Parts: sequence; C-alpha cells; structure tokens
Amino acid sequence: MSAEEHRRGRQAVGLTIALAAIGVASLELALRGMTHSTGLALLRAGGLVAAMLAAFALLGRGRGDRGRLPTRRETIALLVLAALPFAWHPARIAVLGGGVMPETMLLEGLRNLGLGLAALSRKPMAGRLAAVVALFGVLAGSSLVEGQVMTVMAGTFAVIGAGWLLAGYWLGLPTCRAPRGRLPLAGAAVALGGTAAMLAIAAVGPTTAAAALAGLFPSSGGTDWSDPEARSGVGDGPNEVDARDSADSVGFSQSEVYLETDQPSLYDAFSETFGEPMKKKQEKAIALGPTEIQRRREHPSEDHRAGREFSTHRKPPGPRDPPGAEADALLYVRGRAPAHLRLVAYDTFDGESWAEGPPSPNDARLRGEGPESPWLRVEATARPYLSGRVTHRVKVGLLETASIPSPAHLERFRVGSVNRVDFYEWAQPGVLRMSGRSIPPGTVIDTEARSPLPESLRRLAFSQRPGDAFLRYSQVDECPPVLLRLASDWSAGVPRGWRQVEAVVAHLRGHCSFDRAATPPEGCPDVMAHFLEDTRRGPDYLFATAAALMLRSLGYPTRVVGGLYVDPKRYDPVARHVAVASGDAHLWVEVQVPGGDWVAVEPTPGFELMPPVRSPLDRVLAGLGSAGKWAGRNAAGLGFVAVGIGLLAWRRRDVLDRAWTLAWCLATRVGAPSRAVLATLRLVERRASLAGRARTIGETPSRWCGGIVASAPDHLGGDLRALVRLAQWSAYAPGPLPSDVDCRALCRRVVRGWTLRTFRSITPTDNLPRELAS
Amino acid sequence: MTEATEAPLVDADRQAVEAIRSALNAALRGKTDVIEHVLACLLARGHLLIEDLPGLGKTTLAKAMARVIGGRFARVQCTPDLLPGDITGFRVFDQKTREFEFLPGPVFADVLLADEINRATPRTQSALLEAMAERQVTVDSVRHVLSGTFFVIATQNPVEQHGTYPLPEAQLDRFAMKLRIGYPGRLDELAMLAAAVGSGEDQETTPIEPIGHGRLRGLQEHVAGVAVGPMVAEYLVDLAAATRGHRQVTLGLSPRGLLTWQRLAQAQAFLDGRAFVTPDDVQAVARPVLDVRLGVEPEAASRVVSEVLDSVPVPVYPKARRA
Repeated sequence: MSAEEHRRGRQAVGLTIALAAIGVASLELALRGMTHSTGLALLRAGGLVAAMLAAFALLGRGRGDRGRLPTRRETIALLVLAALPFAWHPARIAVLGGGVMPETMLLEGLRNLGLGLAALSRKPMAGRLAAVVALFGVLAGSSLVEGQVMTVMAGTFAVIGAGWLLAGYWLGLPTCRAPRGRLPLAGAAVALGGTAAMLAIAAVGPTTAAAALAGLFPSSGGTDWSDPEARSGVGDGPNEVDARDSADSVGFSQSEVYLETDQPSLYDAFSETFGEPMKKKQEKAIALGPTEIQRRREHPSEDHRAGREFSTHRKPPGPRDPPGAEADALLYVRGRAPAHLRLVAYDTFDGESWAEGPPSPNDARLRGEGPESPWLRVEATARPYLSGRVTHRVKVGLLETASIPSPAHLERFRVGSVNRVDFYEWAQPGVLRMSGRSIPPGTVIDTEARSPLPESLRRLAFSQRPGDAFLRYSQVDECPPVLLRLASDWSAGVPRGWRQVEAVVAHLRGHCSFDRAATPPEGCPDVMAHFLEDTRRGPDYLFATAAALMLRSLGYPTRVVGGLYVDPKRYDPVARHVAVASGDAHLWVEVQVPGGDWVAVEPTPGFELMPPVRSPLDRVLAGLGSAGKWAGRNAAGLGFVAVGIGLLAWRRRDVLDRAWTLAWCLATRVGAPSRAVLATLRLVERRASLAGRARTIGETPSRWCGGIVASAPDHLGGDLRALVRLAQWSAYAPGPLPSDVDCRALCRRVVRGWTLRTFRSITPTDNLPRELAS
Repeated sequence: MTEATEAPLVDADRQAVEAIRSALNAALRGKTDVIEHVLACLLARGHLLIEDLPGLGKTTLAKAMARVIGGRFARVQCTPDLLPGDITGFRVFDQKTREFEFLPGPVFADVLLADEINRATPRTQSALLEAMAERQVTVDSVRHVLSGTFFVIATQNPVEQHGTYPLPEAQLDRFAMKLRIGYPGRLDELAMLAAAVGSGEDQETTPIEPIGHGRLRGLQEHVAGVAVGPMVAEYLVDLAAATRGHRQVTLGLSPRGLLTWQRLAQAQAFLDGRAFVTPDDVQAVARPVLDVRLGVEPEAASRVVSEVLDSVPVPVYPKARRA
C-alpha cells in the first residue's frame, strides 16, 4: 500500500471513530440524560469510548489488515455485544431490583454494536457499519434529547460525517467498478423487502400499519414497566382530564369528587368482612380520673365517630357473596405481592375498640421533585434497616378513601399528576391521605417504598425504657391476665429487641388458628381470654389485638393497622395485577422501632409479610458475607485450589505442552508412519506457538522451518528439516513415505530435541506479531 | 489425485534441465530467479511476457533458449504498421506454378520473440491469440500447425506509453507469467564486461549443446504428470477465490489462469526434484502468474499478491485425519 493510501486509510478510520464516539455519546444522552445529569452521561460515554479505543489499539497491534469484513469470530463477538443488554437484563432485575424498557435495551445493544464495529473499523465494512450505527444514534439522540449539547453534537457529526464521506469516496475510487457478472443480491433483497413492505402497507391500509408499528413499542400500549423516562403511557388519563395540562379540559376527578356516591369505604369493607360491630346496650357517664382527663386533653381533636374506630366485639360476618367480577374490586395492584397497603392506623385501645390516632402534622415532610414531575418524595430520617426498593402501581377501583393505599416505608409516590404538596396530609404517622377529598376511582397511584431487612432489625437496640411515644401506644390498663402470661412465656429467654417481637408473633401464629367466622359470643366478658384460651380460633383483628397488646405489655410501642392485603393467590397472570376486593380487608400490627418508624409484623396465620427485598449493595454484602463464611469453613481446600490454579496459570504453557505431548504419545503409538509424522509436526508447531513462534496463516511449513532453523543448533535443524520434508510427503504425495527412513525414530528425536525450552531459547525478543498470532 | 510418475527427475531429465539452466544462466548473468521462472514457464508449455526496459537481455535470453532447445528462433519487432500476416504468414501467387503458395511467418519458429508487443495494433496482437493458445494458425481458412515446443517471449516497455496499445485481458491471459529482468548486479556487470573483451560481435557462436525437441517434449510431459494432492488443489482454488474477493482486484483469476498456475506449480515441483506439488511450489510461482492476469493497479500488484497469499491458510493437516 502506498504512503498516500495509508494516510487516507488512517484518516478514514479516525473519522469513523470520531463519528462512533459522537453516536455513543448521543445514545448515552438519550439513555441516561433524563435520569442523570448530562455531564454524567457524557462521562459514561467517554469511558465507553476509551474502552473502544483500547480494543481498537489491541486489535491493531502487530497485525496486517486482512480482508474487508470482520472474521467469523469477530462477527460472533459483535452479536454477543449487541445481545448483552438482553442477556444481562434478568441479572439486572435480580441485582438492581428493576429492569428497563425494551427500547432501552435495544438502544444499549445498538450502542454496544457501534462500539464493537468502531473497534474493528480498520476493516472497511465494519467502519461503514459503525458510521451507520452512529448516524442512527445521533438521530435517536436528537429526537429524544433536548438541549444545546445535543445540537452541538449533531452539528459536529454532520461536519465530520461530510469529511468521512469524502474520505470514503477517495478510498473507493480505485475499486468503484463493480465486478462484472455478480448479481447485486444485497441490493435486490433490500429492493424486494421495500416493495413487499409497501405492498403490505397498501393492502392493510396506513392506519392499521401505523397501529401495528405502534404495537412494537410497548410503552405506548402499556406494559408492566414504569419508567421515569417514559413520556406517555398508562396512568396519564388523570393527567389529561385533571385540567392540569390544558385549561380547557374538565376532569372528572375535579368534578365528581364532591358527589355523594355509594362506593364502599374501608369501614364498609370491614363491616362486610368482619361483621358489624355490636351495639353497646347502654352508655353511662363515668367520672374520669386526672390521668385520663390529661390524656384526653392531649388529643382534643380525636373524633370517635363511626369509621374512626374498630370494635373487637363484632357479630359474625354475614354469608359471603360469591366472588364478584373483577370490576367490583376495590383496588387493582401491580407489583410485588404479598403486600400490606395501609389505610388506617389505630393506636388506642379501650378494651373493646381500637381508635384512630390524631393527624400527625409533624410527620415526615413531603417534597416535590420539580414542577414537571408528578412525583413527590417523602423526606424521612435515615433508616439503616431498610434495604431494597419496592414499587407498586395501585389503581383505585370502587374504594372510597382519602388515604393513599401504600406500603410502609414510603419514599416516593405519585397520585395521578397531583404534585402539589398541600393536597396531602398525614392521617397518622406513615398513613398518607389527600386532604379534604377522596381519591377518585380510576386514579393510578405509583409508590416506591423500601423493604426492611429482618437481620438489620434484629441488630437494633430497643431501649428498656420506651420514650414518650410509648405513653400513647402502650395502654395495657385493661390487658387480660392470660395475655400478659402468654407474652411473658413466649418472650422468656429471648433477648430484648426485634427477636423478642418475632418470637411473640411466631408463637401467636402457632398458638391460634385463623377463622374469620369465629367471633366471640355476644356478651363475652373477656374477648382475649376467649380467643387465646377457649377457642384459640378467631379473625385477624383478634390476632392483631392480641399481638399488639402482648407486645405493649413487653414494652414495645405497637399499633393496629387496617388496610388491604394484596394476596398473591389472586394474581391474574393475564392482566398482571391483583384485584383487591372487600374480602381482602385486613388488620395487622406495626411496632415502633428506635427512630420512630413503624415496622409491620403479621400475627395472623395465613397472611404473610412481603419477603425482604435487598438492595444491590446489600445483596453484594450478603453474598460476600456468605462467601466469607463458606471460605472460612473450607479454608484448607480453597487454599489448595488457589495454589493449584496459581501454579496452573504460572506454568500453563508447560502444562499445555505436557498434555499435548501425552496426546502425541497416544496418537503415534499405532497407525501409519505418515500419521505419526504429521502428529509430530503439529506438536512441534504447538510448542513453537507457545514460545511465540507460531506459523502464520499463509506460511508454508518449509518457510516457517527455515526461519526457525536459522537460529537453532545444526543437529536440531537437520532433524526438523527432515521432518518437514516427510510431513510434506505425508500431506501432499500420493504414495507412502519412503521405506528407507525410520520415521518414528526421527519423530522421537524431533520431539526430544525441539522442546518448549528449545523454542524459548531461540525466540527473538522483538517478535511481537508472532506472539500475538500464537 | 493425479497419478504421479515414479521418478520425476531421472538422470537424463536432470542433465537436460541442467543444460537449459546453464545455457540461460550463461546468457543472462546473475538472474537465477528469473531463469528458474523462465524454465518453469518453458516446462509448463506457457508463454512469457517480459516487461522491462530495453537492453536488459530479453533478446539474448530468447535466442539462448532457442539454441538450447535446438529450435528455430524468430523475432518480430512490433510496430503500429505491423500486419497480422507479417506474423502468421500469407499466401502469394506463384507465377511459375500458377498456384497460391503459403509463406510461413515468424510464428512458425520454436521460440518467437515479439519485441515491444504493445506497439502492435490490437488486430495484429490478436493474430497471436490462436497461435499462443492452440499452437496453430489459420490463414485463408487453412489450418497450419505450429511447433510442439512453440514458445513466445513477448516484451513491452513499461515506461513509454505514447503510441502503444495496451494488451487486452484476453491476450494477457494467454501468457503464463510476466517477469521483470531488472538490472544485473555490480559483480555480474563486471563479469559481463570482462567476458566481452576479445569476443566477436556475434555471441551466438558460443557453443551450446541443444537438447532437442523430443527431449523438451518429454520433459513437458513429465511435468504434466507431477501429482497434485487434493489439499494443494483446494489451496489453489482458495487462492483463486481470494483474488476474486479482494477489494482492489477488479478482475480475479480465471479458470484458465488457475490451470496455468497449477501447471507452473507442477513445473516448479519438477525442477525441485519432487513428484508432487506442495504449497511452496504454488507460492513460488504465484507472483509472476498473478502479475500478468490480475486486474489491479500496477503499483498495488505486489501488495495485493502478498495479501492474497497471507490470507489463505496453508493446508498441512488433512481434515479427515484432524477429525
């Protein structure tokens, strides 16, 4: 190649790499620019381009450029690169706890392909494909990213692209003539494909074709993904009708919220599920002591009207209606199940009824994520026992509620597009509700919460003397003796802390069985004694009451929480959600841990807490911990294995040589002499390859042998030359080897003489290309 | 696999080959590589195109070859006014016998030197086509058979291009190889000067023992019988495919060119004293064979041939045995 051709070729490769770098940066901006800063996206792109340049340099070291097309291995590597995001996706879900949209994976695969092609851009066809991929990347980035950075990159791409086209033109000049007699198959295939596509569009009509194309993009039609990068999709209905996007629109959420409806409330659901509370036969006025009066004064706003308290003296539930249609569901929940959705928290118990606590204006503060974002963030103190992120999407069905059905430990949420903080308030600690209005049916609520880890909770130090909050959540004045006795028994020998809570709850779950119809009889003097000692059966509110009171008797602040249980058994695989009906109304217990947060425990058998979701860091740490423990148990074996692997790695060439020599011994023991000769030459070539003197692709054995023998002792050189001559005879001559030569003796001499050490001793130090070829 | 002769180079053959080699080496000093290629071309019954400057020994080489094989030498100085009949011969009316008589042209020699062939018109150049490919000429519908050892050495000047007619691909494909002689080395030129002192004008008086037509035909038949194993044949086919797929080659190797390459490789193996062809033989003659027939820019030809040879794996281990 002339110097001019070299120069042009280098220019074209350089321009291709520049185009690929811009394409990668554009794709990174499109992929990460919305969730991360532009600088971070560009930094990431820079890292990827640096890796590509390293691969480019590595691929070009000591090799002549052969061929226009990538080799088979290179093509496979490119395909693997393109498929990596799809292959990595299950692991990403497992490690990071969430996936990405198919479009994102496609763009990542395309980005990887562009990087790989750019690394191979010394081959003209790979370079051209890299430029095409880069062009797509810039187009995708321009359509998805707004900002001056993208404009500058697109302009730069246009300028460099013009230069690249010129360079390609100059390079193509000597070869612009197409070989005669060869059908332009690729062009014909493209033309045929285009014609077929046009015919298909004409046959089905443009509207159907557009709809079919739109179906290829799941975010436009609805999947189970929720991604902040998505610009439209499921859940935007309220956004369109809430009069937030357009002043002309009138949303039902604004108009119907004040209408009287017959939608069931949580109170209705409790009544239907657990039975009506028994009416008190008579009420009498009693004198309050000074302590009680003081307590009442502390909570002057408590309102004990119906619906804000939960009576444990209830009639048996009526005959259950057969499960209705899914349209009768109170909520539709998509996300991890089982889950406990809080709606109300009861903190005071008067021996018969649980009553709601007062609103807590000083609870965690809400903060918007910006005027354009519908998400609100819950600012809470650091809670080290929380780990992985759990997302849920709740669509309100028939439930009439102001409380936002959400799991505990909420971090972020969105209710439609209502992102004003003053629309929300804390009903009780951790229970969020819309202030002064209920949530309209059809509203989609997205929540992001954190999952508590039991092992982290067990490490928490619970104080012996509970704080002020205990005063409110610890009424055990009317606690039955049986309850105190059982709590004491079940917690005996268990260190104070979360383990004790778990022990009590676990014993309770084993002590009684769940039976929603087993309500205490009317007039029962001691419901808890009847439940825990007589029948040992009962509905979940009795389990919750018993657990809460037992834990309070042990000094743990507790409360009973009412809400809806997302039962995984009711998961609809077609709709990919759980329809929560009134029968899923449930009560459970939450324990206040140091720091003031409330952590749920599930005392009712048959109901389960959501398994803990670990964050990637926690998973890694847990994995490292487990691995460390395992390694500690098997230290000796691991040491042996490590030493063995180290020795193998250190002496890998000698090990390979021994293995190949053994294979040679077995192969040449029997068979024709010509076979032994060829096997010997192959063994010698392999040894030479290990020593960096491999025969190159177009090199004949005699030429290779000539180069080797020139720097070897004479007696060895003669044997090798003779072996090569015999090998040529064996490989290319029609007849057998000459009978006057003792082939096997020669083979043995060569194998003994031309050892790996021999090749190493004659290997010139500057023979990098051959070492690379080996 | 082609049947192999028992011994490719018996003593008589070796002596004949050595006689030709010595005569040619004596005529053209210090060009053993070129002589080996010329020998291979002669034994493969190919024709030779020499592209070089004037005065480098092309005529001397042709004359020496004619003398050593004991045949007739003819030379045609190609010019634009040269007519086909000037090469093939023509019929004239004999006033005495009152009949047309055929006067054979220089093409009926054993060794024909067509000097500066690219100065002849395409019409005249094409007159050589039939002679080179089929060793016969047809004049006025009468077929005339040429010598069995008919051998064409054509020359062309690579520098002067004015008033020339570049040889078309069809004509080029008739040549087995293209060679460049090049200037001799310093010592060879000194020896040449020393030898010229005291010698006469006519250097053809230097005694050369001809080997005879029959002997040359026998050698050529022996060459044709050199075995070509299946792996070597596949290697040749792969190389041909590589020439056709190379991005800078607009005209790859033709099947006729492939046959010529194989025959030249056979001749190379014969000259090395082997009864079978190896990839070394194929590679040894690759450059002159491909130089003459690949459609490639002249300055890139050498690199393209190297790339082709470097890109095709040399077969050593039979696939069946490998499995």
